[in-house]
Amino acid sequence: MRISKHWILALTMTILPLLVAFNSGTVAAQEGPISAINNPNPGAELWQAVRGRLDTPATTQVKGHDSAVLVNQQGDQWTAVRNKELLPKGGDLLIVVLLIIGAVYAMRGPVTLHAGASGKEIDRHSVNARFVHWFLAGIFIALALSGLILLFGRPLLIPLFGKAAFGTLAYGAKNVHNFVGPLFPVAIFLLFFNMVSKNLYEKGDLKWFAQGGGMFGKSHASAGKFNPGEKILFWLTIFLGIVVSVTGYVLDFPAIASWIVATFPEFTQYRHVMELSHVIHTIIAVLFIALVFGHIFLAVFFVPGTLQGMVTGKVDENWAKEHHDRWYAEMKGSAKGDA
Amino acid sequence: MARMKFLCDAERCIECNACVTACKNEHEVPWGVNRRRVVTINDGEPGERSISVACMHCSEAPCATVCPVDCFYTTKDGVVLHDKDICIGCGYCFYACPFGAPQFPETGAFGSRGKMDKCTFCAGGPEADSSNDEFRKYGRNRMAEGKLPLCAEMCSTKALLAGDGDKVADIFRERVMYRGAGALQWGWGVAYDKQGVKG
Repeated sequence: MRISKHWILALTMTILPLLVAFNSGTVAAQEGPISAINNPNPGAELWQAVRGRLDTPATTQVKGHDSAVLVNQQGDQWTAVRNKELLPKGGDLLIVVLLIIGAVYAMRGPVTLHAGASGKEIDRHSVNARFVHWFLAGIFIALALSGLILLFGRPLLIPLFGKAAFGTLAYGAKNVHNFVGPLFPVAIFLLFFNMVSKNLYEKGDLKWFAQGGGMFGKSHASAGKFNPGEKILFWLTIFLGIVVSVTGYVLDFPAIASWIVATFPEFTQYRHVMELSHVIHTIIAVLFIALVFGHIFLAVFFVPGTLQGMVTGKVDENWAKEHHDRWYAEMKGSAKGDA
Repeated sequence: MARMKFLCDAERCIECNACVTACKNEHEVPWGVNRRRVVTINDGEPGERSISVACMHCSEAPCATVCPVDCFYTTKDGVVLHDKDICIGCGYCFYACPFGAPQFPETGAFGSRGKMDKCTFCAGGPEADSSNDEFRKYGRNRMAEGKLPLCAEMCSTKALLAGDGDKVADIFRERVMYRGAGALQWGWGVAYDKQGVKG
C-alpha cells in the first residue's frame, strides 16, 4: 500500500507539469478563450437562492417584514459595526471630549471680566429666542440621556443595577426616545427661523478664527451678536439635527422603512433600511452629544455670564463689551434693545 | 448533554404550512406573529423548493450579542430563549438575526413594537416550567414534558426534524446516502437513477 501511494505521488509530480505545459500550449493554439462547461448544479443553485445571492423568486404565506427572505446576509455586518465600532469608538470619543474640556478648563480657567461687572444690564435674548433654545435643549437632553442609556447601558449599567432593574430603565428610555424624538425636528425648525439671520457670515469672522477665538493670548477676538464659534454650533445643530431627525423618523415609524423599500430598488429589505438608519443615527447622535458637551462647557463654565443671557435674557454691559464688542457697539448705536 | 437543533429537508417539505399552524395553535401566538414560516423558492417552476424556518437557536446567537438589555440566554440543551420581562422591544435582534426569527406584535401606539416573540424550541421561558405565566408569555413548555417541538413532531413528510443535533444529523445522513446523489441534487434521481433506489 505504502509503495503504491508513493508511486502515485511520484507519477503525479512528473505528469502534472507536463500536462500543464501541454494544456497551455493548446490554449495558445486556439483562437478564443475556452468557455466553462455549462452544467449548473441544482443543489448549489438552491443554496445560492436561499442565501439571497440570486434573483430567484421566493414566496411565503406569512405576512411580515422580509418574511420571504430565508437568510439575511447583512445582519452580521450590522452586528459587527454596532458592537465593535459604534460602541467602543463612540464611548472613546465622548471620554476624549470630556478630557479635552477638563484640560482646557484647567489651563485657561473661567474667563472672567477684566473690568468686573458693571451692574448695568442690556437685553440679549428675546423671550422667543429663549423659548426656542430651551425647548430644543430640553428635548435634546431627554433624547441624549435615553439614547446613551440604550447604547451604553449594557456594558455600563447592567453591572450596577442588574438586568431586571436596567430592563425597566431601558424600557422607559426607549419610550422617552420614541415619543419625544418626533418633536426634535420641530425644535430644529423653530431654532433655524429664530436665529438664522444672526448666524450668517459677517466681516471680521475670519479674523476671529485667526485669533483662535481669543482662546490663546490676552487680546479679545472681536465678535458680533454671535461669535463665529457659536455660528458653527448653530449650523452644525441644524445639519446634524436634520440627519438625526430623518434617520430617527425611519427608526421610529416602521411604515417609512416599508415605503422606502417599496419605492427605492436599492433597498431590498426592510431591515437593511433600519440597519443603515441606525448606524447613521448613532454616529451623528454621538457627534452631536460631543458638540453639546462643548457648548454647555463654554456657556456655563468657561465664560461666566453667558448662561444668564439665555435664562434672564439680559447680560452685563461689560460682558457684552468684552465678548461681543461689535454687537455691543451696535446695541449702543441703535439703542433699541432689540434682540 | 444533547444540543438541540432544527433541520429542514428541502427535498421533503411540501409547503403544507402545518408546522406554522401547529405552532400558532400550540403556543396561542398573538395575531400577526408567526414563530415559524415556510418559504418557497421558484414557486410553480421546475426546481421549486420549500423550506420551513424559525429561530435556529444559534451557537453564537447574533440576537444575544446586539441585545441592549442582554435578555437572551442559552439553556443547557443549546436552546436560545429570552426574558420578556427584560425585553424592551427595540427590534435590534430582528436586524441582526440571519433567519428573521424575532417577531414583534404591533401593540404599541402608532404600531410600535411590543416585546419580542420568537420560537422557543417549545421550551418556554425563564418562568417556572409549565406555569400559567410561562404559557402566557412564551407558550407551551413541551421540553419540560419530555416532548420535542410540535412543528417537527407533526410534520407529515418528516421534512422538519428537531432534537439532539447528532441524532438529527444521523437521520439526514442516512437519507442522503439513500438518495445517493447529494442532499439536494434535484432532478438527479429522475435523470440518472430510474429505479429511484441507489446504494
